[in-house]
Amino acid sequence: MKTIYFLITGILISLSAFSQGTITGEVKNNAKEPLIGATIQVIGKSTGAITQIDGSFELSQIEANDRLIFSYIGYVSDTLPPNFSEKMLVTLFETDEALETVTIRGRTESVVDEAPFLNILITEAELQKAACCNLSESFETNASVDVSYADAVTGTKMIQMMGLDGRYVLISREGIPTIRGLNSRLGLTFVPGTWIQSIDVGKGAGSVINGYESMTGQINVELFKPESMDKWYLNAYMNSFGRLELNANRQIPVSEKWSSGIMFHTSQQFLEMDTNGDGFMDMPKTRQINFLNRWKYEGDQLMAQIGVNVFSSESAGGQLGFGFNDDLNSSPMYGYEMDTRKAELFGKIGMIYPSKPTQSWGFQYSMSYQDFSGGAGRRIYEGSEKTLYGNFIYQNVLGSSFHQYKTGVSFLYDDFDESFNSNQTGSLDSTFRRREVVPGAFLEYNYIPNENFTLVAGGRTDLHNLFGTYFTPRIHARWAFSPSLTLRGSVGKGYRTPNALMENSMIWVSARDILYQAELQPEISWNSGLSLAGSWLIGEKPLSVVADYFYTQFESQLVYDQDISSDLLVIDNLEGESFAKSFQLEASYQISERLEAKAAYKNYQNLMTTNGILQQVPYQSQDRFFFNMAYATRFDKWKADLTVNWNGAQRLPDTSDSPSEFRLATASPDFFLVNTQISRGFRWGSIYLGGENILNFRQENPIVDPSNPFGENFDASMTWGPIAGRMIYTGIRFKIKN
Amino acid sequence: MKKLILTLFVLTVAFTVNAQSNVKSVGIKTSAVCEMCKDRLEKDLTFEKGVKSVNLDLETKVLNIAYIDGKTNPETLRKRVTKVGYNADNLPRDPEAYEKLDPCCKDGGMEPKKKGGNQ
Repeated sequence: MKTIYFLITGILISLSAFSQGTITGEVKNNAKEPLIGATIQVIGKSTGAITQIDGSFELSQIEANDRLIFSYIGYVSDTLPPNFSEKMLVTLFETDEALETVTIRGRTESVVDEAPFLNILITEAELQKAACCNLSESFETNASVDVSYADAVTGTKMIQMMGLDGRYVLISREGIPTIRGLNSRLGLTFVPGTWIQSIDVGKGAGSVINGYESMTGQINVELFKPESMDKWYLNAYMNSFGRLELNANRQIPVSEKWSSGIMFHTSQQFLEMDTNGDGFMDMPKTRQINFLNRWKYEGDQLMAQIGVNVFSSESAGGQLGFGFNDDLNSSPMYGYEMDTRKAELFGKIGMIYPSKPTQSWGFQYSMSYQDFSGGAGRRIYEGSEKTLYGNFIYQNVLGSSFHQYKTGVSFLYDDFDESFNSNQTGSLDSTFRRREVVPGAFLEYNYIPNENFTLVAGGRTDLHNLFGTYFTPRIHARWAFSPSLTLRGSVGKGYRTPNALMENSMIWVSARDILYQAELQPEISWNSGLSLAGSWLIGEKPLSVVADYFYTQFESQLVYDQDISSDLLVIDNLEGESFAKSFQLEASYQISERLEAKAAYKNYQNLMTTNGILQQVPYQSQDRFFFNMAYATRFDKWKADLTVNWNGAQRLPDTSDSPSEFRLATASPDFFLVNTQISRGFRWGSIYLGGENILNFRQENPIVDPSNPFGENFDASMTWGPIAGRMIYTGIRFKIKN
Repeated sequence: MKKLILTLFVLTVAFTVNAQSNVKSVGIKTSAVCEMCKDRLEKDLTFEKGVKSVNLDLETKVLNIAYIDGKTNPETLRKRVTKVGYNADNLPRDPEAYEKLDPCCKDGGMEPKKKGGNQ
């Protein structure tokens, strides 16, 4: 959609005596037809061009370090360096539909410069810097998304944005909200890394088009597309913790207009690792099978696709020796189990009008069923969710391309059925049933008076059957007030329905009584933010700096309070204040052709009222530092990467009422996490070797009283750092191109 | 940690051995015509055994390759160029590989369209 921001008239091509060089070329589509009116924009400059009737273009005053964005409505934009010696032949590929956001293919991640939202794109190359394993681990080289540790038993990695839990981020797969509801925590582990083509991380309230749920940001995952997949892509991965993965992607050519692709993943965590000697597995044993197949039709005007995703995943953890088939209730051991199955049918259909290139419509849909069965210790959980989702989007211009709009209607049906049986303490024995039916309508208006300014004003109204009418206003603005500086601002409201049991599954692994006092109501927040992005050439190499500040205020929130007593977890509606202030300063610099460095400092002031006191949210570093260094030779024959994360001290819940031997400090120590990877490319693919947490840092005694798991002091939920130590991994990628 | 140090050590040694070897260079006249050809040839030869660096000059169509003597030789490199679909000095290109090239990389593929942009 952002491609259309470039459909602007009156682009300056100023003549100058100091012009560095002139480039010429042609822009075509993959059918080799010239694209008329495609735009070429020089990143960070006010120069650009539009292609002529034969697809040709000419641009003067171009420097060798400039980067050119080629874009055309309905096509994936491409970013390329200039070539002075030769006519540039640029091929653009059609996007799935006009619905999709711009994808810039590049070597690494980058702030999407022309977007009105603060978007950071993580490309395939960037994802491969940290080769393991699924979406929850795809943010290791990204400064905007933090990874945290849930507890000492379930092995779940959680993500955070702006210091707030990942459940406040709308996570979608190709525009369809996917990781939400009951799988908002576990769902990240069900998107295999080898399926992901790119990830778009948007900070702040997102577009209203994808719903009301993005409270702190949006993460959109693009999977490999059937038409652009390799004939075969095989991957095998193994690590020193005893994890084995096999991935296979296969393109199935059908006909000129039809294509199909299959993606398959299977993995096993077969070893019981106990690196800290507490008698508990550091992470559960797991086995997963995951399969996705989609079919795509690309006509001259009509594009459609339909796909199916099914998976099954089983985990068994807890005390050493607890097996997949052991019964939680009757076993003498303290165990953890979680079996998940999901089946989903999804698709899109879209139409463009070659005679009216500004007009298009698209419809996205998804239908899914998933169930969860498991528990920890004597606590037994069963849950299922049935979801039906549809979103129709129409876009056009009002008179001229200065005024563009998108409008449409959406529908969500979400049926939850959960039961939780806490035989361990008898505190919360309940069934939870809930059915949400939410029709909605939205309108988003884009005002683009010139290429330096964009205003996006959107609103949506949703009629929630349980909670009444949601009105969601959102405003974004982008102003490139100098060739090297861009200011962005956003304000927006967001809503979501909390799922107390699944979102809080780490609490299962403690002897705390769970007191559910809350009345079910939506969480509501306002998010506003400002960011300033700059890019300059320092010694002919690009330096880019982004500073952003976001403020999230909760009007309503479901609070998980561990501070009242070390014997209790109280789940209640927010009483008092809750807000998060996040500041991030990030700089990246290309030191040489081969070497790139990136550093970020983050500060989170994340305060919530627990136990009647407005205090820092527990398990949250207020200060964080991030550093990444990437080395790559030409065509990625050799690549090496080093990432350092420093996590400042975290507040820990109040345990002053525990027996003295089980009390925790009031704060965790700070610690470093260092990851590294080296890979060698070949004609057929690559091999890689890497290490995570190579300094072997571990939280000492992550479990309180591990020898008495059924005793009253047992608590494995107070986790602030890595449980297992250093991990070494290796893998191979093998591709057969068409 | 030991494993890691050992790995780094082995890699360092491997690099050093490479650097000490005898690097030679060769220029191969090819039938490359466009940017795409340049990219394809340079990428392919980068991953050829014994090759240190590759650069194609589109003006002269000469592919300059720095390679390690003993690991490969100009004859092998020329053969590889033909396998990508291009003539290499006197060696004719592999017809099958040529067939698979993009239209713009084939004979005359760059000719019908003149340098555009000025109306």
